[in-house]
Amino acid sequence: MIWLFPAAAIGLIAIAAPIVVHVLVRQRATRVPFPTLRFIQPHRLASVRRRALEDAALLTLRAAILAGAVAAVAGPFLITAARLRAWNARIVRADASGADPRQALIRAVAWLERQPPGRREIVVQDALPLGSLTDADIAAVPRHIGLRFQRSTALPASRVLRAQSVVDSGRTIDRELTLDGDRTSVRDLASSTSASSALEIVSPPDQEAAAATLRNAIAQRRQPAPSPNHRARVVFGATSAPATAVTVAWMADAAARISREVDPGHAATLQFGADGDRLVVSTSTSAADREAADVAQAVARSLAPPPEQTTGEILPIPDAQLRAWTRDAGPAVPPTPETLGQDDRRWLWAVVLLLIGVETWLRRERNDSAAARDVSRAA
Amino acid sequence: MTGAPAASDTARLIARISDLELVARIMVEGLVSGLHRSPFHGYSAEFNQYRHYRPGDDLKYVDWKLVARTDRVYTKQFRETTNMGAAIVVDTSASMSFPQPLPTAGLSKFRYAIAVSAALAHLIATQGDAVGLVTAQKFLAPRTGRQHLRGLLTALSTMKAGGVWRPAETIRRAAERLGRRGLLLVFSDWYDQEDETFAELRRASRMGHEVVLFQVMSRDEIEFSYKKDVEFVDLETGRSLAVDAAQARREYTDGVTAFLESWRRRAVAEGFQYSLLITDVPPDHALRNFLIARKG
Repeated sequence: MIWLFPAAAIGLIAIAAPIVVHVLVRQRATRVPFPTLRFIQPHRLASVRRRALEDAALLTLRAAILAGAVAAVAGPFLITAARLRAWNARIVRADASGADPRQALIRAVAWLERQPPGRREIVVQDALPLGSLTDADIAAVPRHIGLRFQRSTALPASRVLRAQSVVDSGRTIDRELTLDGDRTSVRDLASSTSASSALEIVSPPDQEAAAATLRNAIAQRRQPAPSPNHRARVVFGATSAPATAVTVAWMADAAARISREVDPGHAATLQFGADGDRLVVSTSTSAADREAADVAQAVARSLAPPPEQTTGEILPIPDAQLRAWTRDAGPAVPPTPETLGQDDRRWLWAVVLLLIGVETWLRRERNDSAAARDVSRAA
Repeated sequence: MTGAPAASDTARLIARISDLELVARIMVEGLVSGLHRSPFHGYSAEFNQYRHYRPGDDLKYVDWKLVARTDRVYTKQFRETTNMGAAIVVDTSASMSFPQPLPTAGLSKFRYAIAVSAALAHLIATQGDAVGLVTAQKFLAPRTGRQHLRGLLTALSTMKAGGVWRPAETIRRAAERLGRRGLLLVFSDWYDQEDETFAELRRASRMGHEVVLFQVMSRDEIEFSYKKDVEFVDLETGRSLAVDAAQARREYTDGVTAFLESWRRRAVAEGFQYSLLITDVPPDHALRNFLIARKG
């Protein structure tokens, strides 16, 4: 049983109302003016305020009418065997095609969740290069959704891609990546663009010599080229945290990357802040310490854009792996209130109307009987 | 076809008709055809005894034939020379207004007593006897004549039941004002001042009056046909008592039965005529039964 508006069940309190009123409301016994009390024995005293249940059948009937009305408002949907059979006979298929199979898969799952009841299946149509889907992506798909994979196009035998630029000795060097079968090669392209240093290293005066050594080491070492306008300052031997907190997205990403790259024990000493458009990394570590080089290196790397995913991969996901991921659609899952196109409230309303009819008939019967008793007594 | 309504319709008629004279006539006309002689005996100028003539006696009462036979002078004496006098006494206490509210086409004990007493007054008056009315508030001396009867019926129809009444006092007043030997017709449920009332009735009887007791009761009052919890409120004192009616029924009906039997037995022992009137019996039926019993 599924309820479209389960909150309406709060209306069931209405059933309790007449019963609670019956129990709590104290009603006087019927008052009858009488010629004399001399023959009425006082030891048969009754509670003046007690009220006996006069007609349990009528009360039950009225409670049933209220319950039926509340249930109808709540929008019931009965899951019968016939309905289950009908749902299992139907399959809802989603086509997960697109530039990014991972995102297409996520969209397909979300779309299927909104569909009417039935067995569910996703067909992934793509070239399916390595890395386009992983075990984690497949595990994120609910178990009742079947999966099938179809290679739509063949991958090229080789491909030349632009690789991430690097900075070496103050110059920015563009690079080229060549994928050829199972071989990968990188080639530096000629570049004469001079790059100003995006990393600033600051230290107390007594550590200045060590700091200068660090600057040279960073400059001499080939580093990924920083993104435009991404700059940072590393403060060694700091005695206080940066005054301004990080509020810019790239700075937050960079802080996270730095924390991941340095030694976990040492990462606890790092404090991040901002100074205008510059990321500030403060640490109590001396510039002369061995960990100082790791920190400076991590900060320099964090200014570069993240490495691109393997969008240009020319090797496919192995067929064996695809077969392992392939599975049949499971049995249809019951619908949710959001996916129900109908409900059974009309039947409940019919029952309520029927009960109202019975209640009316019963009430008239009771009244007629009472009237007949009065007439017979009067006669 | 006669003009009199069927017996079963009489109760409904009495409940609806406010003209008490008409009610009385309807009831009596239905009875007269079944009764060949009057049930009430008046007193005529009836010879009682002779006594020796004393100077100053009226000579018209001298029995001259007896003088001739015995050579002594006697005068005749007569017992009574007037018609019968009847006094109707009606209990106007609040207990007579039961049941409240009235059931459909039903009569309260008071209205029932009024209807029967009106019919009796009509019957007595039409045979030439004097009839009067005594209640706690009203007193109409027994008289004859159509005009007096109309006034009596008007007085009956305007009476209301309420408060308490002192039956002994009312009966004493009725018996004393009745003067000579007469007929005392008393309508009540007899709940109040039982012993004093009975003593007064006995006294009235010794005064030479014929006493007729009507005990007016309702069926609910006798059978106590109530259910569940009921709070009974005394119509006269306002005191209330809440009981489980089903449980209290047995003791109540035993008590009422003993009460009614006690009144019947005491009345018979004293030579009173006793009649139990139950308000669900058509009043003309009750009246007929009473008159037949009286003639028998």
